Amino acid sequence: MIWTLAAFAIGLLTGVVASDARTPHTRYVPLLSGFALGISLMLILVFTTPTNPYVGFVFLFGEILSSAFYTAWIWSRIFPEIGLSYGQILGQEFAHPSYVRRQYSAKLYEEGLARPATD
Amino acid sequence: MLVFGLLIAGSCVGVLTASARVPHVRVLPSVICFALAIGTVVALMGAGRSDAVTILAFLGGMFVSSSLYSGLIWVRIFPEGQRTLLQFAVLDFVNPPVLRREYASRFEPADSSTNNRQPVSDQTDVESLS
Repeated sequence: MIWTLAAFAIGLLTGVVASDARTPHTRYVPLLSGFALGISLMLILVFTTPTNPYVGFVFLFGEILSSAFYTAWIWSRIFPEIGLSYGQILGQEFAHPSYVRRQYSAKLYEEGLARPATD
Repeated sequence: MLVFGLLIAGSCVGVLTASARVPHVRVLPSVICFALAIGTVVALMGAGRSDAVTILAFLGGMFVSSSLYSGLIWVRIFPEGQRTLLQFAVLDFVNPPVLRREYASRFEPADSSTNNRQPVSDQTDVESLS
């Protein structure tokens, strides 16, 4: 039980870090670092404790959950012009994630803030 | 073997720390990064591997990669700062608030005396502001 909770906690941490590296635009180095850390923690957990290897799914569940919540929080903070509430943005994260991203890039483009595709 | 692993882990934590604190501090990712760092050191001590080399490898990798990656971000998004990557990296190691203040002052009107935090600083990974 304690190891299942640990896997869930690792998933929550990885989700926040990955969401931070992906919103509002993807930055690959932090994204890969975050996943490398989370997955190596999970490997250590699976191979050094007498737990069921299927706790990997608990890790995945925590990752998806905290990633969606934190991404919706970032969007509602930096892009209130979209006119959706926090819960609606959260729903879009599951239903149609690229919707908010496209609205945001359209806004940047209109304001002359669009950046060349480096990074 | 363990030393190299910790060097890599420290580099990963450092990159995350830099990306969570540049160009402005985001609280939750920063807290997670420091929790990861402290947790790793405590876990090493708990596992009886608290010799100086392993812990220094972790912390060294963390600080070096954090400074270098911060310098890389600053060079990319803040070319008006007129510094090279190494100068940015050293300044970020020594006194990061200087850079953050300099960067934030670019987005404020010249005559504003209030220091309200502008949400525009979240869109700041743009290359050119018209």
